[in-house]
Amino acid sequence: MNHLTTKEILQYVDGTILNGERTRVVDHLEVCARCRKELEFQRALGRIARQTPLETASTQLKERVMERVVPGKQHPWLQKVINNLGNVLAMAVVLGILGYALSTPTAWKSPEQPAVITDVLKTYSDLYGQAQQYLKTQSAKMQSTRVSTSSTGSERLILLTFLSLIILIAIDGLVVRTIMRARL
Amino acid sequence: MPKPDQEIIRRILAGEKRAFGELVDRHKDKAMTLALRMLKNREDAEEALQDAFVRAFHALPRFEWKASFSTWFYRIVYNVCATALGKKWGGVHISLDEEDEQNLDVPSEGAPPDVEYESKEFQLSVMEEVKKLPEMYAAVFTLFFVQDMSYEQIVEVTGLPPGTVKVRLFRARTMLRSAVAKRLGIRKEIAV
Repeated sequence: MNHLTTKEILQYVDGTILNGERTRVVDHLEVCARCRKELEFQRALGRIARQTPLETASTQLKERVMERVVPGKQHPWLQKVINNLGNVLAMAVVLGILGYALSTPTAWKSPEQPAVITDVLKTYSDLYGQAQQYLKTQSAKMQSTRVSTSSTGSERLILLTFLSLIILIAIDGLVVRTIMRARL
Repeated sequence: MPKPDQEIIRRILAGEKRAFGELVDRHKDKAMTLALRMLKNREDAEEALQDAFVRAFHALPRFEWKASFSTWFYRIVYNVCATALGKKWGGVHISLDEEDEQNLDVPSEGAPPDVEYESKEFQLSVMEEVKKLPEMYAAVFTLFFVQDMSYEQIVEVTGLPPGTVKVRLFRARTMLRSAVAKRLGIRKEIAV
């Protein structure tokens, strides 16, 4: 006896078998135990495949999607700082080292030091001096507290970091944004 | 009664962007099942799904109202996953007889093993073997059995010719049948 093909059995299971074929398949199933067994096996496979539990997406998926499609409202300046946090931190570290060098008078007057570095340090020192002078003037005007004539190392570092932030914002505003606008 | 997807889409297009979260909640698990069956890796599937949702959001203004959101959205998920697979493999290779429906007319394999269809062993075997189906067959199989889609809908989602969809679904089912029968048959032999 010729058994039913897998295609015929699956079409019968899915209910997509053509009417003309259907009678022949039904007749065969009545007399063939092996094909009936195969039919039941295929039906069971389909039933379990449909009942297989769905995979669950992580709970963060929705948050991440929503964050991308509807970004949360934040202060623009805060967003700017966050976006440039890496640069700001890197610059702060560099300036910290420079600040340390400046706070040690002999460090930047070393005869082995290349002239370029000495020039940069001097320029930076001048800027620092001007900023310090400006703050002193402002402080004196406000007559709030007495300004110390000799800043400590930590005060210098804070001032340098503050100065670096101003420079960074200026570079971002004048150079980076101009380039970005030109590209767009 | 749950709101139809179309109503949520109208709200989103009217400016209520946060309503998109409702669509994510509704479709994320079924879409995750499709993505995971195709990509076989949870991290890749999550990433693909995230990408698919974002793409769907930006494409919503072009949504065709005649189609169902799920069919439209699964097409995006399928395409994102297929692209990811293409990058991984350098393209999906199809065998020469893939398109030929005549190849389906083969006699059924030997008689299936004697198993209790309601047993945990049988159910577990099927569920585990479903996850092992090769990527290109898994997609069609999942759309048919999990998403409960018709051949026509699967053609719409995958963009594959109807003959290819039929052949892939047939192959997926015969592969599953063989794997489960082999697994249970071997266990029966060991038990004897």
